[in-house]
Amino acid sequence: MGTPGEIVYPELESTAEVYRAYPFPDSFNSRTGKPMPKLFYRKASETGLSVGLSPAGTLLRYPGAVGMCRLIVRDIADCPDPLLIVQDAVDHAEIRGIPTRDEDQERALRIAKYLARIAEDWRDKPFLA
Amino acid sequence: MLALNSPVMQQGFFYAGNSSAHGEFRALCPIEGGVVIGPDSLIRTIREIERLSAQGLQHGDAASAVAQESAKRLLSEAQMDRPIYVIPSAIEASEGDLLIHWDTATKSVVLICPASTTKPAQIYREVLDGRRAIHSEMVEASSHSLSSALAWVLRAK
Repeated sequence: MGTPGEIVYPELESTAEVYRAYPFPDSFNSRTGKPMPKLFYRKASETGLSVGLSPAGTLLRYPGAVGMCRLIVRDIADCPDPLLIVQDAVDHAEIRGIPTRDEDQERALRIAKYLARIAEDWRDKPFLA
Repeated sequence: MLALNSPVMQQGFFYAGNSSAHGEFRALCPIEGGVVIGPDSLIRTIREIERLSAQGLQHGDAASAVAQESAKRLLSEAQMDRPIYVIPSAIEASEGDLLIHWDTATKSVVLICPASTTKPAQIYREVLDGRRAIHSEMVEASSHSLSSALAWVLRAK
């Protein structure tokens, strides 16, 4: 339950899609066709990994993004390390449960590599044109 | 050119389509899982580290000089231990650290070289079942542990 005045969103459906923006061209690995694992390393200043709930909403929040990748909620939930996807705004959510590399290097790498494997590159989709 | 009696060749990962006449192989050969191997892996990896450092500041994240030197030294020493054939699938800088990933369909190895000398370099290894890791471990990096990990990642089991 949230604090008074705070909107509590329902759990996202397992088939829902979330989008993670690429801040730089090197966020994408042309060798693997997937985002780089570093796209999924959490920084100490973050509570979770920021994801948009639509491509347009993601671009609106990150206008400088050079692209994005798509992840499916059920695939995120299937991570061997338990992760939560918490919606915190109409068009935004956070993937939580990821330690920083300083806190737990092994788990942070395991999660980042898993998320990079399940992510689908979304740079060449028509809405970005 | 790779010798037919080299350990990598004997592991049987090459696509037959990559072989050329006279038992020689092209310089770069993709193997199952997308990993690429070649006889010039070390020099390509070092060049890529240097290229990443040159680009780093533009992209907001650069590996520190300490991290780069540590990676180059470990790779060069590991090459003395056993030839390195596998080319990284990703080299990235994160908060000054340098991370080098070698991935196959069933295994991954990551060399983590920290931004400063206050932390040791480490090696992450994982075994995959599909997209999920079913085993992972961290070990302290040395030329020998890196050499062993890079031989391990190419092994079928």
